[in-house]
Amino acid sequence: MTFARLLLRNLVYHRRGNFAVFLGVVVGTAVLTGALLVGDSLRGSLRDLTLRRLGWVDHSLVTGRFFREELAEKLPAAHVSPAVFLQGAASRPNGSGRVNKVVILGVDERFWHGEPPVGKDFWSPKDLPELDRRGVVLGSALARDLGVSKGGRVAFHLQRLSAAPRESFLGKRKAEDVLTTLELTVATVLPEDSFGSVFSLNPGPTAPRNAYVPLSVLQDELHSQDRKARSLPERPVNALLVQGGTRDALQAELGKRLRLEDWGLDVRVPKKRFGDTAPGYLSLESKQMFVEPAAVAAVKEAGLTAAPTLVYLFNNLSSVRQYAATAAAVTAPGMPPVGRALAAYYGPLQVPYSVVAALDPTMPPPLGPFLPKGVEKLGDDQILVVQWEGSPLNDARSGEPLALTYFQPGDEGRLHEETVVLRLAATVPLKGAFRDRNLTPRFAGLTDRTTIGEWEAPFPFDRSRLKPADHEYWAKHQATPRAYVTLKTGQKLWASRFGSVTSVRLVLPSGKEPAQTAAERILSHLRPEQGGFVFDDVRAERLAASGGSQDFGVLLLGFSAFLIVAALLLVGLLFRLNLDRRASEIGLLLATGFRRGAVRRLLLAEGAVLAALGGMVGLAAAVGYAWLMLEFLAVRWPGGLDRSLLALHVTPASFAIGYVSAVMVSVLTILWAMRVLARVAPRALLTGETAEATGERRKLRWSKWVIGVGLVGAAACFVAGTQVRGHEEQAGSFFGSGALLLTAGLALVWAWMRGGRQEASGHGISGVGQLAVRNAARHPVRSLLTVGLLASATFLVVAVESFHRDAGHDFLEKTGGSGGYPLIAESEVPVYQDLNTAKARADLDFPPAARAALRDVHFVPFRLRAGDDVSCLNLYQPRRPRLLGVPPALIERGGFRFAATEAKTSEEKENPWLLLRGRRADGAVPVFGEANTVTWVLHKSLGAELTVPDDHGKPVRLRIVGLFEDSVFQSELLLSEANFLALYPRQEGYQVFLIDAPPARTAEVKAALETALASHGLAVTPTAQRLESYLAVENTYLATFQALGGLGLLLGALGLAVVLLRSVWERRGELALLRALGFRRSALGWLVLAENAWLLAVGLAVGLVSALLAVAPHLSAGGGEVLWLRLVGLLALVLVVGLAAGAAAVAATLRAPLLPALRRE
Amino acid sequence: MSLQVEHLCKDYPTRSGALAVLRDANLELRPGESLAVMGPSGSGKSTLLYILGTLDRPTSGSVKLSGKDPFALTERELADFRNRHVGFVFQDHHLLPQCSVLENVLIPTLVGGAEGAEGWARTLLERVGLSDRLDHRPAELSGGERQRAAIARALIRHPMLLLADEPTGNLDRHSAEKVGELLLELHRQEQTILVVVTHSADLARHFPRRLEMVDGALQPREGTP
Repeated sequence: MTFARLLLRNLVYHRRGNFAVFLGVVVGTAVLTGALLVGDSLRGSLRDLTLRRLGWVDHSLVTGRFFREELAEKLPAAHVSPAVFLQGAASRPNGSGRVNKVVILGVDERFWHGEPPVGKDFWSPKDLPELDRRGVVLGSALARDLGVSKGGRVAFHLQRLSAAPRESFLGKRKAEDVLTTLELTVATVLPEDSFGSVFSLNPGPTAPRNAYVPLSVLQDELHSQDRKARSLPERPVNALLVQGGTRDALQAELGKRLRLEDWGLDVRVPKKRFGDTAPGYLSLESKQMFVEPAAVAAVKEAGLTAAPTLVYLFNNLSSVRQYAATAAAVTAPGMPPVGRALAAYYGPLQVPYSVVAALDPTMPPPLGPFLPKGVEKLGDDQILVVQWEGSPLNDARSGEPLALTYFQPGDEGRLHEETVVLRLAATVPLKGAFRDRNLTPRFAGLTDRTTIGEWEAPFPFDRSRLKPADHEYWAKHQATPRAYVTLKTGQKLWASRFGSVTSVRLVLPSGKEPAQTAAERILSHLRPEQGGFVFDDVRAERLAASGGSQDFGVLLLGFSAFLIVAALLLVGLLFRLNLDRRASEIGLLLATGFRRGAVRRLLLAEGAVLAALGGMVGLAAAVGYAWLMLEFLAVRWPGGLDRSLLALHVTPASFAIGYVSAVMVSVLTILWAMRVLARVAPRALLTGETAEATGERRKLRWSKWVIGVGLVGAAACFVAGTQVRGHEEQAGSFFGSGALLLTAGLALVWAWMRGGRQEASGHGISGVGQLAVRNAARHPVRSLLTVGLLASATFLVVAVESFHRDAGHDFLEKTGGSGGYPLIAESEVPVYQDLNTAKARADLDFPPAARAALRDVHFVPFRLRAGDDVSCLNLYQPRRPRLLGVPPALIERGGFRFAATEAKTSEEKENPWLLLRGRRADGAVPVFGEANTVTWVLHKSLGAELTVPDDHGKPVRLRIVGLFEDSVFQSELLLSEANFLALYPRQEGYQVFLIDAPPARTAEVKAALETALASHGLAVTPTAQRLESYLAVENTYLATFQALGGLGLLLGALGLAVVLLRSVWERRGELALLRALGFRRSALGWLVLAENAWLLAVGLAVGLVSALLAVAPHLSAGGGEVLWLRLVGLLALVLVVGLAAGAAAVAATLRAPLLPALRRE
Repeated sequence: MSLQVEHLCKDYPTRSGALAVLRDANLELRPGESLAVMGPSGSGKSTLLYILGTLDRPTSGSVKLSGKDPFALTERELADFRNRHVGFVFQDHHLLPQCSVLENVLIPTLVGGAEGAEGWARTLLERVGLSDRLDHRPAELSGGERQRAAIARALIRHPMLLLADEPTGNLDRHSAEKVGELLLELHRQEQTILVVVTHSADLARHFPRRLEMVDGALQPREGTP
């Protein structure tokens, strides 16, 4: 005889009881490991998805500017594919089937990296096909959404290239200037799972809407848009996709190979034109009007002799005498305002629409000087005016004030006319340095026009103000400046976020070196990052992000905790029941000299074997559990998750962790169940007793204390909950109140059972009922465990049900989550106008019906910096948050609901939006985020900081100074427009809009806007719907938690049935005796069932009452909506299952023959 | 080598105060001596037996076996003491239903050393007449056979003290007779100190020394020396 043999004998002989314990461990392991597997699956699925989306691409460079395709050659990598990435909307040519978020990729066969679809000739045609024969290959998602197939036609709506920043005063912002349509024939539709259908550099669960156009075709289209501006390099691309290599090596090589034309810069050798002076300098100019600050700094660092120059177009230059006379006229009674404008513009002493140059007038030749004889210095308040034939200011006297009027671009595309008064330093003859048209860089639509009347002016241009002399000047001298101010004055007046210099005139040290040398010297001081030329280690970054913003394994483990605890309690309960049954066996071992430790080890070994075996089977069950949970998530996830994306992933680590944890916890539970052995005397065990006979009074006193403290604590928490303000604190207080009440309730049940004063008298149903209640108290530990399990599960299920979220009744209030705006919109192509003005609506070609529908509608436009969605809808870990620039008007207005802010002054507390103004003392940019987003996705809190790169790749610290509560802004962080533009000066236009519309007409407004701005790809969403989509995630979590809590509840009910079965089995002799005394089977059945029902009812009632107390304030405040029917249904189901299981147990026991049971007794 | 019991008392706490079950019991037995304790139910005789077997502790008084007080031992030492020096035979045989007869006999050797144990177990089982039932389970034995197996188990560790609590209580007259004889025979062979608690006058008759337990006090049984 050995221990092992005894162990084996025990396991086999007590197989029924052991099997129940084994099953408990199986359930516990399955739930615990299954939760980890769900985490694995989500991470693994996102990782797989990332790999599928990226295909062969390891590194990528995607910039906001176009550079030469040649850069793709000879990079230190295995494979490089140059590409053009454009974003827009698509529709069928008749305008139907419109879809947004379309990515148009210009690629050649290098992208396909193998056998390209449609054949190589399609991607690299020898000759460009005719416009109407040009083809496009569609990804399956786009084709499906558009409803087109091979041979169909698709119109792509894209943003047109612009010769100047659109928000500069020369920017064109009308619909026809902003939008272009590219109509193509579908050459083929790619299969669902093909690389082209799933390719994306920003992997997400939603299938990308890809359209592939031969690179040369798209380049031709770009060139056709750029025909006048000539700003693009010969074969422009804006992306490089790279396989292999390292980021550093790629970046280093790129730095060596970039040319000025990749930066949109050019070192021009000004040529002498007819009548002009030969300049003798080089001119660094931008193809986007302004030379970017990095280039100006590079020139300086290169040690070149340089003269930064800023030219600007003024509307009017007039003598202040005229100006003053006009002003006087304005003040005269009866003079309408229009009279002032007419007088100022059409008076005799006006110079209209001319160029003024701001420069350093003291520079030596060939960069100057711009000072006439006798004038040694040009003051910052002075102006030099060129004398030209027919100029009305030729006779102006030095010192005379002149009024210079010009356009200043304002917010939302508005141009403001500004006037500055400068003193005339001198009039200068149009010769020498002054006679240099090269000072004004070429600008399509203006400088390339032979007559001034042909100007394609994007600003209000009144040709009637031009006099014959003006036409003559243009014919001879074109954009040669007609006035000069100091660079300081010019930059003060006309510098913008796009730059403060329109050219940098250069002189090389020798004075004779070619432009190429100058270009190289400038390039050597330009860092690629400054121009956005940054390779991303896209594979590593996206794979890191695929870890997810939430550890779903841990989250689900939290949700499953109750189920795991229920399973473990069941394990403990069942093991304890086994011990009860084997008490005399244990007593015998002790009587024969076994130490308690040896007996405990023997039993523990049995438990460990059961746990080990149960754990193994549990691992298999875990796979099933995880699969079920994935199915549940896929169905319940807002908008649905493609089930094919969410595949089951199993990792050995999760198996190991799940197995070891489950077995360890099970063994600990078994140890806990065995603690009774330490207290019971062997003699008692020999007689089959396991309960302690003493200590009742002490325990009763203890439970009375628990009741008292629980009730007082519950009341205190309840009162505290009504006093605190924060949502979280309130929820915590009320939940704590309920939990304490639950504890007090269970202690009360315990005290009642241990009190021993349950009376059973009377007869009939009442007598049977009383006897049943008394029987329930016979095994107080068992009964308390089952009641506790049921009560806790009920508490959780009910409490969670009441936390089901909706937008709330005050959502549409100004201080609600919508800020009072019923609609929110987002466009693919930015809008550059103020949609609140009739002019903008006309410029954007709004149809009359739309204009009528929008008559009383107000827009709040936001600038958008595209980035990662930081809301809980994004399963990936966001790396660069999406940012919104908040307009000053909204900051002034205030509104929305905040969970917490850093407001200190009463003004800030009144309107927390003021916190967004300016920067913090340490330079950090203040931002707002939504409380849940910040906490759960960004893993930050109020006052925390995060770093993002600015337009030049420089890291900028964002400080969270306010947290919205239940806001529509959950996908982004918000900062002031001023800060936004300082960080992202190249980001133009508005893409997100809050829309204030009459509630009754929101549907009409939505339809009108989506039609009017269809080509912009505008999608309008009711704010309540937007919030619901966020809350849906939370509700999905709640539903998961609740479903698992419900399973725990069912497990509790089944546990109760098992307990009852054991209890009845133990009492079978007693029951048999009752039958022998004349009790009918049915009466005994009712007796046991009543005992079961009583325990069930007590458990459900304690849990329900505690939960309702916990959530009462939340409900009364309208914070949540309880689906009562579902809740009652769930609790009824538990009651029915519990009773049915109990009935089955009773029936099985009572069917047993009478005599053996009596004999045993 | 003797069993000495002096002024042994045992009280049990109840809701209505302490209940005296054993009052000033005194006893001395030497190896080879045997004693039958008789008395009505609830008189305290089983309590005396369980205290002698160290399965219960006295409220006061002392028990010494070979001059050693087992209740002065630690929990571990007490278990070893019980395993080495005490053999129990219960009214309800308490055989492990999952083990064979031979295995049941060998159970005490699991914690007390197994050298030569199996041979001795076989010898014992042969002596109790169960040599052909070694691999049978308790459920396959008659009541008398089960009790004989329990006697063999009690002797497996060559105990100094053999205690039997109503060993024939569940047996018919014939089986009871045989079990009683066997118990005494083995006791004599093994020179143990045998204490039997019984209602059975037939069994007690075989014992040279008999005591009556009346309300917790030991008194000489009428008609005994």
